[in-house]
Amino acid sequence: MPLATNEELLSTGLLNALLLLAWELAGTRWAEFSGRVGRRLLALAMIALLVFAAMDDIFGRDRGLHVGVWCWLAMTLVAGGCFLRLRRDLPVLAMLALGIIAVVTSALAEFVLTGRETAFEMFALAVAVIAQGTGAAFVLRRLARGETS
Amino acid sequence: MSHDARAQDLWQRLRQADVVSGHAPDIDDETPWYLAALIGVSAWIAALFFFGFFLALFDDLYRQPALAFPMGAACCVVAWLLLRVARGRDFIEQFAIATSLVGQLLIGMAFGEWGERPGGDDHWRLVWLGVGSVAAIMYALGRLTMHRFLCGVIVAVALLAICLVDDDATKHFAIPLLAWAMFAAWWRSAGHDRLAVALPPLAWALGLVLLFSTWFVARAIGLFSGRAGQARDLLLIADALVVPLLPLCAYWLASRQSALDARGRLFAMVIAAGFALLLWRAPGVSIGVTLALIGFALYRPALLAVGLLGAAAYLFDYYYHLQLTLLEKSGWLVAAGVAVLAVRWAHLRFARKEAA
Repeated sequence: MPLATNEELLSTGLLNALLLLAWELAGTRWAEFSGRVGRRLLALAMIALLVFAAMDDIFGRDRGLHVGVWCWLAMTLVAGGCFLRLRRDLPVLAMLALGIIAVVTSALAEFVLTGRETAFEMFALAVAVIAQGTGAAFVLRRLARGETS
Repeated sequence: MSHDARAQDLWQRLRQADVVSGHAPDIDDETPWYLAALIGVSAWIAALFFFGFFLALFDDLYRQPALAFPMGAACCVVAWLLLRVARGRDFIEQFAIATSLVGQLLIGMAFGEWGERPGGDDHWRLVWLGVGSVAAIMYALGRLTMHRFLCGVIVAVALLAICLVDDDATKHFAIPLLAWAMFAAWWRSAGHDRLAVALPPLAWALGLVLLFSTWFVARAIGLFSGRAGQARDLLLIADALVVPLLPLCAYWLASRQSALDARGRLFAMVIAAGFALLLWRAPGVSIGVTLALIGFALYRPALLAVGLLGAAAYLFDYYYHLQLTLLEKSGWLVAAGVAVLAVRWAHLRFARKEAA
């Protein structure tokens, strides 16, 4: 039996998204909420749960609507835009990038692995993960350099 | 000329000009922690797929150590070569880390197969010794911080497994052994220029595996279930071995502060010893506070946070340990809390007097 159902993962992830939004709004008014640790912890909780929900959705073959994937995608786009443009926070962007790697790799694995894997498929998946990680590291490194210069 | 050679040459010239002294520190790749975490996690995922690649390539690889070992060794050599040229090239770095992990997995698998003996007389201790030794060699060869950290985790897990695999007296000494190894790694890294970059990944790995083992492993193997006789005595000895860690650490760190004289250093050590003695049956607290102290003194905020969180999480877990009664545990916790508050009060009074 799984530790949490897809619905529980989704609802808790969305609750964390609301808490993060409330935290950010409170930060504009009260200095106590302007620190980075609270934001990052809430972002970690939100991203982790929605990524798990999306992965569960991908591997659950009988689900048709893929609500988890859509919620994760919407969250990634909105949070990515906010933490890139409005309040740049590279650790949160790194968490989002790791979420993208996890979900995209899950989707690729679900598509490619059919139970009779050949060495080529496993190798292709490994290269795909490394390529995604490299791309994310490249972008984040450039953003970090831009921040320090 | 390689990057390393250029750096060594520059250091040599600076030393000749009397600008610096001592040996050149290892080159730090200055990867921010969030990037290191991203690279580390994706390297592990890629390593698992690479491992699957080898399993799919060779049928029944589990049962063929004579094939798995040379393949693992080849992966490690390739990883070492890649790590030498990978500086700053993310793709090669990640590929090298994943290859190194796969190599170590394959070698570990071969050792595991060789260590199995018919009739259950397995040599798991030797198997883990082999795994830890390979990881230590890769640690020394591959200078990338994330690679070193992951190899350090394997070394720490191997140390833990060497103590735990056989159900004998050594399992009680797993936590003291890791705790002292972690302390030694931080102590050496702070005292020597050459080790200032080389040892912290190992120290981090030992610290994290240590915290993990104080929370979960100890419970899983039944260290805290009510025991009598020899097992209880061994547990008492193991807990006692952790006690000197905190005062020694306090003394060492106080010695680094130029503002503290000999009396102040002694005072710090006595206070730490009192705290450690009050909580000697809860060694996880001492370990967490030791990590926090090291983090504070060496300007490592992440270590400070991990130490404090570790101590808090251990206290939460400690409540459910069964080797002491609830009343006895409450008494020791209250005594420790009162002692800490009293020391703080005395320190504030003393500081105010000094200022006046």
